[in-house]
Amino acid sequence: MPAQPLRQTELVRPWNGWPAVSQKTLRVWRSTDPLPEPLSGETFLPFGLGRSLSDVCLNADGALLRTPAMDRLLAFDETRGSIRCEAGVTIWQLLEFLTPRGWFLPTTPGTSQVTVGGAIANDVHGKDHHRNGSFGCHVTRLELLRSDGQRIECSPDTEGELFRATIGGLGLTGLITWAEFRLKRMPSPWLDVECVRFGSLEDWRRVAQEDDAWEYTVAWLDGTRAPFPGIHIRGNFAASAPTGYRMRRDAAVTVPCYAPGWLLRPSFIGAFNRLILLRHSAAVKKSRQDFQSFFYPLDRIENWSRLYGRRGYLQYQFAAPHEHALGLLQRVLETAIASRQPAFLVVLKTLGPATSAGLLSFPLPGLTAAIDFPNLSKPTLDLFNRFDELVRAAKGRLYPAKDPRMSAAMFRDGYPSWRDFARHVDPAFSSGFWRRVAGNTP
Amino acid sequence: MSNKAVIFGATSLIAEHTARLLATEGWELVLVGRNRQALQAVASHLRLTGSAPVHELHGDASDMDSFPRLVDSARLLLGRFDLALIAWGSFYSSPDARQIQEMERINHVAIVALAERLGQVFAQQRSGTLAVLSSVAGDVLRADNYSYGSTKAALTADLQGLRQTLAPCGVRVLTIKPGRVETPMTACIPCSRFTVEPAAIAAGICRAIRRKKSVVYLPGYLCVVFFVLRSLPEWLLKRLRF
Repeated sequence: MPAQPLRQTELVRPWNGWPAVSQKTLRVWRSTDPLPEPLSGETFLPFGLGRSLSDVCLNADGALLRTPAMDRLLAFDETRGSIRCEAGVTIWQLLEFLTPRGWFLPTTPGTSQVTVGGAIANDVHGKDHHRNGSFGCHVTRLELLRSDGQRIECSPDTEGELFRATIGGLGLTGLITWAEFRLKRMPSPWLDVECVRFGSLEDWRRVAQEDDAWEYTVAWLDGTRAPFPGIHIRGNFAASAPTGYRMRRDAAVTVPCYAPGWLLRPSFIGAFNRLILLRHSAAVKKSRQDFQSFFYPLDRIENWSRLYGRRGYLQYQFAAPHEHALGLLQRVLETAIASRQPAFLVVLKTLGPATSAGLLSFPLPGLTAAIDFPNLSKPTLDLFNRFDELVRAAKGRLYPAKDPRMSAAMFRDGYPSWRDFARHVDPAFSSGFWRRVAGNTP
Repeated sequence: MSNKAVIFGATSLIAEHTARLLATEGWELVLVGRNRQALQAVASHLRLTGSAPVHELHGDASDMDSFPRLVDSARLLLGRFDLALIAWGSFYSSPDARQIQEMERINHVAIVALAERLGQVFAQQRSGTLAVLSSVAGDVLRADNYSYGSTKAALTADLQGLRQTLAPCGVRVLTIKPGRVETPMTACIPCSRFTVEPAAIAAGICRAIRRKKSVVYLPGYLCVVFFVLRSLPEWLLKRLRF
């Protein structure tokens, strides 16, 4: 092994395709390996599968640490229902191991193509947040490798402050080498699913009030026309169902190239949304789905983000307290329509009261909405700046993992504990996102 | 009765991923490696995911005298082998004389010595597959790494001979020729878009073993690429410097 490992230059994009950055990458092969020695002024940022939609996974002036071989399971405790694995293990790998044994992730994001390290660093949430909180709520222990060579085992009880900073810590507190977290029993690989149609946001509120019996809920809505009709989707694992389910490994289709720009005209976006609604003409539709179709529908389409064309897309995701949230969503969508940039996809989710330990954790009790727009560069960025004012007025916050343009002011308003967090940032770690929102503040 | 395999150089990424596939298919494994801690890490993952036993055996490619003992210990643990995979390898991008010697010793001499020893065991059993990691680098030598390439060329040639020797006993020899793979061994040269993940190579190895192939290029299209390259005249090759 050479003394100073090779720094490659690669073109790295976050999942939404923007911004693309040509930057240095380094590999750390084993969780027992030391960190490379930083060159003078160089900073590091761990990089998993790059599924975030922002520059939280980019470090243009520094180097990315890739860990392609840190993908081993370390221990599985079937009696307590917990697993310990290296940080590069993917949700997919875990599903492949856990589901045949009757276990499931404590909570899961909408794609299986993320690493455990990434799930912790962004404190991801899923369709069961209203019941189970975010991923960070279930992490019991983890090991951090710091740039001074220290390996620090953190848990809520030991090194608790550093633990709280690392959950949702955007990879800035050091390299997570392994983590241990609790699991959930999975009665069967099937879910009983109910799709309820709603005619307006008010209507949705009524439907969502009957969610108590449902473990997983999410709403999709047509953001191209008021009063924003949509479909409320909720599911529970079926109590018992024929087993012997084999996970589908391959995507059903691959998007071979970038879609042309004309596909993203407002009229097409409106038609696309109407088509989805048409498919759900019944007021209530009950069905049984396997967990892959229910949790990870987009994993069936490889490279789906290419459908947004070469410039990619931008997602605006905010969380706001219950009392303001629906009004805020309505104003945001109306602003988008008025500026002739209708939202391609709008997803709405109730966030529960369980807050995770993370200092920079995104979810707060209330609602979150994720709104996708094709990236038209300046017009879209201007539109987002107008959204920012609305979100700030409603005491909401934005999701760092989804936002490559969040201003320092928006970040500091949304995350008042950011100064506590900043004290735990490893001096040799940084990211494009962090330099933008924290500036030179120590 | 479950299938049984012994893997030499089990801490290499390609070998580890191959072992993972075998373990999930229920194979009983003996892992041979030099670094005990690294070997244990590989083995404990396999024990979690697989159902059959996984044994660890300490062995070093540079200690050729130990090979008979190593093969005997593996045989003692497993009884018989259905598969032996040799994934030893040494790589230097611009080697000095000592490093050239090391590559020659590991990539060629040691592997051939071990392969012959294993060949005897397989011949007694009158069955089994001996799979060895060679490289496309030995097919057509490149200006960049011809010292490495020549050791692999020698290995490939030896395996061809061994294959013919063992064929009458019902023993198969598989020569595996991967292209550029993302592993620590070649971490000193930058990845390109032709670089492949070790998991894909491992899947190809298992497929080639099932299909009872003699030589496999991974990824498969390299078979065509190197067929063309091999048939080029030297004056053209000299200019291409591919």
